[in-house]
Amino acid sequence: MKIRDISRMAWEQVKRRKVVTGLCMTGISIGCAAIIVALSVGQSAQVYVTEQVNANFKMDEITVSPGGGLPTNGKSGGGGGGSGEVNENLDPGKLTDQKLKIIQGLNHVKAASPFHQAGYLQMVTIDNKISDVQVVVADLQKLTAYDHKFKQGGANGQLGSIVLNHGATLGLIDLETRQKLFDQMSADPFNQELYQQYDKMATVPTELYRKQVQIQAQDYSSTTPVFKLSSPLQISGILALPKGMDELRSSYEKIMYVSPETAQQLSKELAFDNSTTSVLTLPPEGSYNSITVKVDDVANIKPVEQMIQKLSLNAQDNLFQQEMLKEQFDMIKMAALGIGVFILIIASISIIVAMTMSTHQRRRQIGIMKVLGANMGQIRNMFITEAALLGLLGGMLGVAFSYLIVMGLNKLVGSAGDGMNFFIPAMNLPVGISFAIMTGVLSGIYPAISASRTDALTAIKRD
Amino acid sequence: MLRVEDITHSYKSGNEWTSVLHEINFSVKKGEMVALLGSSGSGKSTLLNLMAGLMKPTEGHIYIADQDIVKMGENKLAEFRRKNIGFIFQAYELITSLTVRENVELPLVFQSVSPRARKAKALALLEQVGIPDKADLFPSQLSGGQQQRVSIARSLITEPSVIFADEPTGNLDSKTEEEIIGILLNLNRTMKTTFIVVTHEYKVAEQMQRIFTLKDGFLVTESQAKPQADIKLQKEPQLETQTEVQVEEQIAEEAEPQTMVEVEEQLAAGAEQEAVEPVPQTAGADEDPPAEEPEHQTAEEADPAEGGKP
Repeated sequence: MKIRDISRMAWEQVKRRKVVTGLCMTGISIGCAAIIVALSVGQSAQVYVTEQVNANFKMDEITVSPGGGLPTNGKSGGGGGGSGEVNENLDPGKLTDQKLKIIQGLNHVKAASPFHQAGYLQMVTIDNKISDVQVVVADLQKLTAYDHKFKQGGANGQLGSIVLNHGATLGLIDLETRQKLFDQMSADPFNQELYQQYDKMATVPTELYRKQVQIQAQDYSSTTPVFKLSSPLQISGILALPKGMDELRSSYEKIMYVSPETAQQLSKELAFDNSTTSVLTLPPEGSYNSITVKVDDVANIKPVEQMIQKLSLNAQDNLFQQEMLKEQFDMIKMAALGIGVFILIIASISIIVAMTMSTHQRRRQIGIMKVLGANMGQIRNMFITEAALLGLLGGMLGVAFSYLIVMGLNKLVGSAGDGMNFFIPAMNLPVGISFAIMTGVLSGIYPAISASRTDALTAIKRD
Repeated sequence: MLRVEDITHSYKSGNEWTSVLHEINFSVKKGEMVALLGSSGSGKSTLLNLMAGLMKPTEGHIYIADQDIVKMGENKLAEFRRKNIGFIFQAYELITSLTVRENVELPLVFQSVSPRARKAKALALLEQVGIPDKADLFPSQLSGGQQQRVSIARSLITEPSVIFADEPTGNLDSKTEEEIIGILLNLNRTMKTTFIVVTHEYKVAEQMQRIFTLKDGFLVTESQAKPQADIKLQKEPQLETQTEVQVEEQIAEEAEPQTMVEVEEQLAAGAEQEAVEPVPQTAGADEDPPAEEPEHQTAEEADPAEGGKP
């Protein structure tokens, strides 16, 4: 018997027995929708949390630092002079320019560049607004290789030009207002209104593109406040707000990117004569304290990391964050799958009952077919195909249900103001439909065997 | 072509065994058209079901095309039936969800014949039985006679070695009965198909080449084979269906059909008829024997095809 004929006959029966079809489809569709929605909610939550983690911990980046080893004669890590003597023979763990070039040439490495956190300083605008910023020494031309996007302008190779991130343009307040608010908060630390006011002020944007700012340093070793202002710095570009980060959170992350040359200039300008430490912490010239390596794919993180470690350097990734999340979400997904399968088992009972009833009602038809030469296998296959078809139709209805449920969930979450978005990954659809068909087939086995064992003569005579 | 050897069949009712058929022996040649004649409870339908492989006898052998169907397992029997046996039922037994053409094609579906080939064959057979224009209708849209024609076409589509017809005219009026018997006779003549027709009506049986008469489970008589030329061929089947009024008028005009008593009298009077077996009275022989699971079956349930007859 050809598959086409079996399918056609099964389809005719499914069309003809509308009540049985409707009952079975409803049962299966609920189970199928439960599986799809449960898996999708788990995956949506995983994507959401992963995005959040990625915003803070880049999964495709490796942070490389010196590998330790023998001490050097240079002043690495200290002083602002940058006069450390590079001697790789004596300190094989040193992160040198030469090693940076090797890393940049490794397979799967998209970019490798130093990102040196030189310290926190005050940024002062021309109209005397002040904000605390973190000064990061980096190759400004390579910022875009690290997923940074420019909202305005871009990197400029000129000495004294800088790039600000989005957070650095927020919450610039004049000194007097700022001091007044701080005093009020100190006097009344439990006043929520003051905190709300502070948060509000912290997210007020200031137009800084192509404006000039200065860096202000304070000599904390002096008994009286001594300040020094740098020469004006030109803001050549402003980075866009990273995806998944809101304004308030970005206001806590204010970064000023400066080139190594500008950093050296600032270090000189802001050095206090009587101080032993510089306001900017810079690595010795020709070597780095930290570089960030961007890899083309998360899957290649480990091999690249191993190559870097062969250079006697420390390499650290953020994959452990992802692995930790994966374990948690695997558990959630398994639980969701379990719930869906449980519902499908319940649904399968309705199919067994409906199909068995259908078999009984069709005993005469089965008898005729057997008299006409249908064997047990052919009768069994017809019923199993019918059950599989019911499973398929139930699965398709389940897909439609799952989209409706996810739409409802998104409306619910959207109205609650949360940024989470539920979605159904395409892979979940065949998974749900496969489960539905499998349920149909498994539920159809007993009725099919029962039908195939129907005695032709008795079936014809009894009705 | 068909050989029945020492067939005995009995069933258990409570603690007692009831015999239905007693050492039946006969054979049918290829292309013959024979009647199994008998009254209700004579065992003719049981014998037909045994020959069609729908039941297993208690003892004996049934050979069709030199193969003993009694020894065959269910699946082999299904395959054998598919290729060698055609069946015409009293109540037509068409599948209501399928069209006329699809009903006729059905046996070929189980043989995995291509849709195109089986469609062509089904249409040709529908034309042969006189209802080419009904191919796309459903059985419920046809009269009884037309449904039986569909059933005949269906039985022929696999070109079987033998066709068993169980009271093929039992549900039909006299006019339609004539048409159906006419079709069967013509098919037998033109296609050389072997027919075994179960009937309780002598006027149907007498049109066949030979008559086997059963009484109380015994094969009591076997009439001489009629030469083919002597068989009264019916007029060609009428394509036009009569109206109900016409049919009723015709029935009223026609004489009452012969009863089995009259038939038996006729047979007894026939000088050349030969008794095959003695006719002992057995317990429960008047009852119609069930096919299987006799413990919970009434005689009528066991053989409804015969149970409703006069």
